Amino acid sequence: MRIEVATPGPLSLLVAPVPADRHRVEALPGDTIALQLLVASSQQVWATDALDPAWLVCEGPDCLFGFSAAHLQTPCDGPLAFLDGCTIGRGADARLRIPVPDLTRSFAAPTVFAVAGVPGEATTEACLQAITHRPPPSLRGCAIIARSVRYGPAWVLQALLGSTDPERPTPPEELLQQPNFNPEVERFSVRVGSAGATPIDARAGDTIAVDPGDDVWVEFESDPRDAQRFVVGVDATGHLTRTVEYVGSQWYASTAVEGITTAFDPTQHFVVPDDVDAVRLDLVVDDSNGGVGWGSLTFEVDDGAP
Amino acid sequence: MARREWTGVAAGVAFASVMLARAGEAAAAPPGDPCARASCSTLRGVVARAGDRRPLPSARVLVVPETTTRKPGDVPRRHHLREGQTPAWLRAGTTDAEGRFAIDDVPSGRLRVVVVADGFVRQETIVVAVADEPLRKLFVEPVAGDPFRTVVAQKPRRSDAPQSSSTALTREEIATMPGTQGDPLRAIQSLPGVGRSPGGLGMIVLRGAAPNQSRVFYGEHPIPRAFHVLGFSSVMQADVLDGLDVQPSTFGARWGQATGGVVLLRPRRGRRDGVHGHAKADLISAGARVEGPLGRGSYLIAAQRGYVDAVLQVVEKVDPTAVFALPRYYDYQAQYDLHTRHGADLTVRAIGSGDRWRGRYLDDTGRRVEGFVLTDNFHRLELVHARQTARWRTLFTPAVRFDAARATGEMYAGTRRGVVVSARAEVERAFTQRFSLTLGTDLVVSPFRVHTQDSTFATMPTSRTIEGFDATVGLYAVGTLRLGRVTLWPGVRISGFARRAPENTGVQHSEAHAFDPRVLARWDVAKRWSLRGGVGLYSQLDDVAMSGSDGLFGSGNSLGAGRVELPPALQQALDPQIGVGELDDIVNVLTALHGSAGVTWTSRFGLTLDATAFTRHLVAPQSYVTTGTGPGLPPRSRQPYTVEAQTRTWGAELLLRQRVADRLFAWLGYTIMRSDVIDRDVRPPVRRPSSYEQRHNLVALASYALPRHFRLGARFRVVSGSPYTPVVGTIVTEYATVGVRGRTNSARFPVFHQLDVRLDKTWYRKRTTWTAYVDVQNVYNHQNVEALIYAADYRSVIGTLGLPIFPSLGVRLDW
Repeated sequence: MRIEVATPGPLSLLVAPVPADRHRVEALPGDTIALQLLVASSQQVWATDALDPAWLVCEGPDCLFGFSAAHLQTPCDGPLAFLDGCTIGRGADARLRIPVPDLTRSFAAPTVFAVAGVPGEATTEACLQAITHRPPPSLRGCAIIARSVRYGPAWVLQALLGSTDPERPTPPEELLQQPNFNPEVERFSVRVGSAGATPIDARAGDTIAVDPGDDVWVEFESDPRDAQRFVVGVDATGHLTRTVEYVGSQWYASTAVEGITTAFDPTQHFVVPDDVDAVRLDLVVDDSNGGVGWGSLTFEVDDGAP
Repeated sequence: MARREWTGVAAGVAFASVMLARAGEAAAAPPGDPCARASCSTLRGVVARAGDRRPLPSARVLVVPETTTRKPGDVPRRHHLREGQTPAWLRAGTTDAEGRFAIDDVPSGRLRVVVVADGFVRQETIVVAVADEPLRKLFVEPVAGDPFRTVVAQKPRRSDAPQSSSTALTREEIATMPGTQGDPLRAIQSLPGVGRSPGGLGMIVLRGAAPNQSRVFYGEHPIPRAFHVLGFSSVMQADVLDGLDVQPSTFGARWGQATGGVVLLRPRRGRRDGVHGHAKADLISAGARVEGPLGRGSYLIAAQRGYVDAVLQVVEKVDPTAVFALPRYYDYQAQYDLHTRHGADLTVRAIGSGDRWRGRYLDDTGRRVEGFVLTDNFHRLELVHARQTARWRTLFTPAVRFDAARATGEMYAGTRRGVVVSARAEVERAFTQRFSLTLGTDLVVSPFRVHTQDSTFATMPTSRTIEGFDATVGLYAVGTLRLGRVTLWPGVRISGFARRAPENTGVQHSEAHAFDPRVLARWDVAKRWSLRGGVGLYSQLDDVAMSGSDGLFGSGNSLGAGRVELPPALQQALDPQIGVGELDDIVNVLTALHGSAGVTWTSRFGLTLDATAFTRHLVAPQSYVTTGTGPGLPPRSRQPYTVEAQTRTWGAELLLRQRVADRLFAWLGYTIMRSDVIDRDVRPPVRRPSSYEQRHNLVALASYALPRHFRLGARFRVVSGSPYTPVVGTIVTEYATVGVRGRTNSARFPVFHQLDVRLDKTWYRKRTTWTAYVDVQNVYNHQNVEALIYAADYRSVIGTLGLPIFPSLGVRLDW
């Protein structure tokens, strides 16, 4: 599940802007976040429309199994709704406005759940009914994806809660740095035929024609901007403390393809099968600060007819 | 006429009779009187059992003239005296309790001494007797192929000991029981009412009670742990015990701080008839014992050391990709017993145990890295003073124990240290033949210090130190009332509990007390029939010790490409429980109501049938306080919030037992049980199987002494699968795939069944005994399921965990 700030709220004016082609991961009260879903395994990528997920919100990582039938009908229209559980609708994606919290109460981040029945195995309705039982009898055929909404940047929250330590003021480097944003999958380098073949520059969403039996090498070209560096504070000696994001990747295929695994290697090699019309590869990249992005390449298989 | 060899027990006695009859005939004839031709004197000597050199009482010793030119010494069996050989003369005597004999009118010179005793091979020895000089000690070999005298007993040591249902095992039984490697506490797992330990690990589950609800007493004081790490062995060797009693419920008021059952380990006094001992070694451990007289008393010292880690490290040297968690352990027992001039028995005893378990893994470079180290040690010193007269019996025993445990991981470290002081004082007065009364008190005070360090977040390392104590004090009174064939043991126990662990929020609720009346009864209906029963209340303070493994043995941990879901029983078996978790002052007192009734019948052929029905109702409160502070959090709670879980257990046990002399012991034990946990904190209350419910538990066991000192034994067990909580779905989060668990204990593993076989071979020498054994667990290598391994995404079960075939070889020397 990917979360990005789609419509910044008034508090977002306090933070530095992100690059135009990037979206913030961490939200602030008043922001509206967009939620997107990719459901995939090593042998299949499901169309999100067909899954018809239900989007639920509650507070805490285990809160889904406190849901009742009433909560499934409760719209997420305020912070109190988050505490017990509420719903933000159905569909391939969803949007949620982060309300301004009541600061005298708990300020825990909500968790968003996408609950969907896998076609042919269970329906979304059956899955929703199962989660209202405690404990659930069975969730076979149900895809449940959870993601906690990250609040940030931290210094804004500290200011909001009045918990800034006057002895250790936030360094200006932290105030002015770019906030955490999602990595993106944009460019691939593709070689067809042999590892030494001339590489083809491809962009996410492109379609490439291949023949059955072709050897294909696909390499993800990551954007160095996505491995963000952050100032997170000042140590006892007065020096800035920094962290660097680690960006990882994982491949998925729309069909069983020899050579494609869910390995973390940015380069994949496979042989085009002769019994499919197309092979779609999806690459998911994530960083160590909750950022997620994905993109796909489609290899259209020529049937060899004259 | 065929020559006949006089062998065996009955034949030996017959031989003695025939020879004595002929001696009478010979004595009547003047040429047969040896003293008529030579000077005679009294021939003295000692007869002892070969191997352990125990004096042999009531043995017949015959002396005849030696007519051959054979060298002095033991005579091979083929050259023994035969039927039809009539000696010129014969003298006879019998050994006393010390194995000594004295036979008058025996001439000096070459003699043949024949020793015949029930249960022993006939021994003939050629000696050269010198007037008034005692013979060298004569050793005779037992008939049965067993270095121990094997006795199956299921009666109390003292006929008036208050227990409604109890099973005793002797040291000899323990030593030869298949599938137990001679371990005392593993042996009791073959008894009805005692549950199978999950994974073969060290746990004592009595009538469905969780292991921490039962207590193991070594002597008069409880021990903190009964088993070494991973249950490889008990924390003592069987040879230091006189025996043990298992009282799975409805035990007398003398024992407290347990809502399940008690296991009473009876330490043995050292022998005074010489220096004895043993040395043994097998694939996982080595041990030794020495005992003997010292001054007017006796001493006994024993120790064992487990070296599984060394064995596994050899495997690692052979296979560079192998990596194991390395367990190592030791224990020791030492005691000195003295019977004072004032008629009192004084014992000074020291026992101790230590474990270390190093968990490691292979890092990216193939180097073995230590992931965690768990250590757990205790040392106890105690004094026992007991005195008994015609009407009075007194007992006083103080003890002090030092506990130290440590759990170290890559990001955390926790230690727990404690000095446990315990004592028992007791006086018993027999007022009449029919009535006696015992009054006593016991206490356990356990100050502790827990220190933890957590550096999971490098920028915010945390350190915490808690000092506190647990204390329990008990006062008890037990009467013994004999009314003809009925014996009643009414009793009461008043317990006080206190706890101080100053990390709470000011809740002053650190003391509690309990009043536990109990009554047990036995009715000897007829010579072969007796009825017994009991009912009572039992209380205990909940455990302050919490998980010391920091989630090492929780559910969902990675193993290879999968995730292991450990059932709660197995988690508890693996967890060292060294107490580095959250603590608070709250005293939660668990209370149980026990009831049992049974019948015992003994046939005239030695077959015994015991049938017992039992019930147990446990109320276990669990209290919480709010400890956090800060904006948005509720204020600290003034009163603890308490939830209550109840466990109802009922069932029946059957024990059918047969013993044929010392050659065979066998039993068939069956337990049917239902144990439900009722969670009343939810509406409507939820009822589920307890984690230790084993609805059916069948154990068939037999051990038979074969010729040539072989002993073959087998144990077969069929037990209902343990309950577990299934994973019914998954949630994919940004960090991992998390399993969603269904209804607690709503599924069961497949039925457990296993055959264990043990073969012993003993070689007798005059002063030593050598024994070699092979003990094979799970002979037909059945894959019993103890835990499931799910795929990393929980979409399928990709494997199971269970003990495969496990052979153990050992050799032992006794002297």
